[in-house]
Amino acid sequence: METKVWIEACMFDDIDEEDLVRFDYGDRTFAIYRTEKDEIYATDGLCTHEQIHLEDGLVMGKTIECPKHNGKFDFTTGEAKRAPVCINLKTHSTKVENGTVYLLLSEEQ
Amino acid sequence: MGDKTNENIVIVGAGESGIRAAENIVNKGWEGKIIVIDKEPNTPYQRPPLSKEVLSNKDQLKSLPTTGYDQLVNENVEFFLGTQVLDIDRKNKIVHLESTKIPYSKLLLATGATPRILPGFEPDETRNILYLRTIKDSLRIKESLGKGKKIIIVGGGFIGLEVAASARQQGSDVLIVEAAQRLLQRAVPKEIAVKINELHKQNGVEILYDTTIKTTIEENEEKYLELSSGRTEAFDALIIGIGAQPNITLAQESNLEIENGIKVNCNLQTSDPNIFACGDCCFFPNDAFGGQYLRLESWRNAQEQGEFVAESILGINDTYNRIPWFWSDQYDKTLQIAGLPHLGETLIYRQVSEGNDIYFHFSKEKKLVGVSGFGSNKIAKQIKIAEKLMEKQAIIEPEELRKPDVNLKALLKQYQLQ
Repeated sequence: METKVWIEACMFDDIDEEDLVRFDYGDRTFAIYRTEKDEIYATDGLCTHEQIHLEDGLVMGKTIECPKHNGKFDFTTGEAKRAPVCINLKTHSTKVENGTVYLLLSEEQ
Repeated sequence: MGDKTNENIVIVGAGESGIRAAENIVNKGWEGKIIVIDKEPNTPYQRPPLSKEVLSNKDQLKSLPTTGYDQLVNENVEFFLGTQVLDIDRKNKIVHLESTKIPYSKLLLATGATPRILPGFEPDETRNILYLRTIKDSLRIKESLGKGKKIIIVGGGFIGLEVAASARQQGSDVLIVEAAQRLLQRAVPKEIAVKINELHKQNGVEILYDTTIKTTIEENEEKYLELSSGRTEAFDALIIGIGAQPNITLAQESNLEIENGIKVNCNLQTSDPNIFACGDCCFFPNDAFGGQYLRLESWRNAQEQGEFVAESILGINDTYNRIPWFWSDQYDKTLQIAGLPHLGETLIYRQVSEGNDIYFHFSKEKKLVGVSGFGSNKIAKQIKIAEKLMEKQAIIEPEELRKPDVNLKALLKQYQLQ
C-alpha cells in the first residue's frame, strides 16, 4: 500500500526568489520552486518530453521553461503549456517549517 | 465564427510546422475540417533526433513521433500520408492529389526543405553517397556506421557535425571536409567555432578546412574520394550536409511569389490571401528585427510559425516577431543560439560557470541582437533571459553584461516594468 510522508528537502534560503533547485531522493528527482511571493511548489524533476532535468530551466512567474527544447509548464498545477510538451508534470505538496522545505512524497511499503 | 462545418483547412506538410498549425487550429475551436497531406508515408515524426539519438541509440524510434499527433487523430484531423499534392487550382480553391481532389477555404504550405545536392555527388545508396533529411535517410546512414567504418562528411555545418559526433560514438573513423576556413561561419562566433573544432578533435575526428571534394574513384571494390588538395581518402560512406533549400515547387507552379523561399507577409500569408506558408519553406519578415526578411531552418521556428499561422488562417491578425532560437547537441556538449548573432558588431563574453560560456552580440546601436552559448544545459537560463531581452528590443550598454555581478534577470525585470 502507498502512504505519504513529509520528506525534508532543502532550506528555504537555498532557493533564489523566482527560481528552482533540484532535489534527489532515492532514485527519484524533483524540482522545488520559489515564487516572487515566496511561495514554494514542487514537481517531478524531469521534463515529460525527453526527460531533461528542469533544474537548469528558467522560472518566470508560475512558469518553468525546459532548458532543452523550451517546453513550458505551470509548476503550480503541472499543466503543460507549450509544445513540445503535452504531458502534464506531476506536482507534490510542500510545506515550510522553521526555514526547512518539506515535500509530501509517497513511500512504497 | 459562423457555420464553418463545411469548410476545409488543408495543410500540405506534416512536419513540425504543419502539425503545430493543425494543433493550434483545433485549440482555437475551428469547427470545419482539417486535412493534412504529406508525401512521406511515416507517422509524423520529430526530425532533430535524426542526426543524433537515432544514429547512436537503438531505442530512440519509440519517442520519435511528433508530440500531439495522437490527439489530432482523435480530434478527427484527417491525414493523407504517403500522398503527393500534384497541383493547386487557386481559382477554384482545390488541391489535386493522385487519387482525389480536396477543396479548401484556406491552404497552408508547410512543405519544408530538401538537402542541397552537391553536383556530381547525387544521392546514390548503391555507392553510399548519402544525405540526411528523412527517417529513411537517417536509418540508411545508421546502417553505414559502425566500428572501423570510414565515414567522410562533407560540410562542417550542424548536420555534418552532429552526424560526425554520432558516427564517432558508433566507433567509426570520421573525416570532415569543410570548404570554409572555419566551422559554422555565419552561425556562431569564431570563439565557439574554435571550441567545437577542439571538441571534435578530442573525440578523434579529423577536420580539413579550405578543402572541397573532386571525385570518387572505385578500385577493387574499394571506394576512394579525391580532395581538392590532391589527397585521396578511402571511405565506406560519404555523407553530404551542405545546407538545404526550401521546397517551393508547388508554390512556384501555382505562381505564388517566391524569393529565398515562399514569400509571405507579417501574417505569414503568401501573395494569395487564401494561402499561407510556414516553417523551413517560407521567406518571412521578422518584426523583432525591423521587418528583416529571413528564412530559417530550425525546429523552434517551425513550431512557432506553425502556432502563429494557425491564428492568421483563422483571421486573427498579428505581426510575426518571435526570436529565432536554435540548439545543437554534439557528444556531451550543447550549443544554443538565440536571435541573429551575425547582425552583431560587438561581442561580449560572460562565463556562467567553468566550461559554460555565453557570448552576447550587440548591434552598433547597442541593441542586443543575438546570444550564443556553448557547454551544458547550464547555459540555457541566460540564453532564455537574453531571448526575452531581445523580445523587449533591449538597448543595453554592452560592457554592463561583462560584469559578473550584473544580474541578467534583474535587468529583464526592469524592461518588463517599462
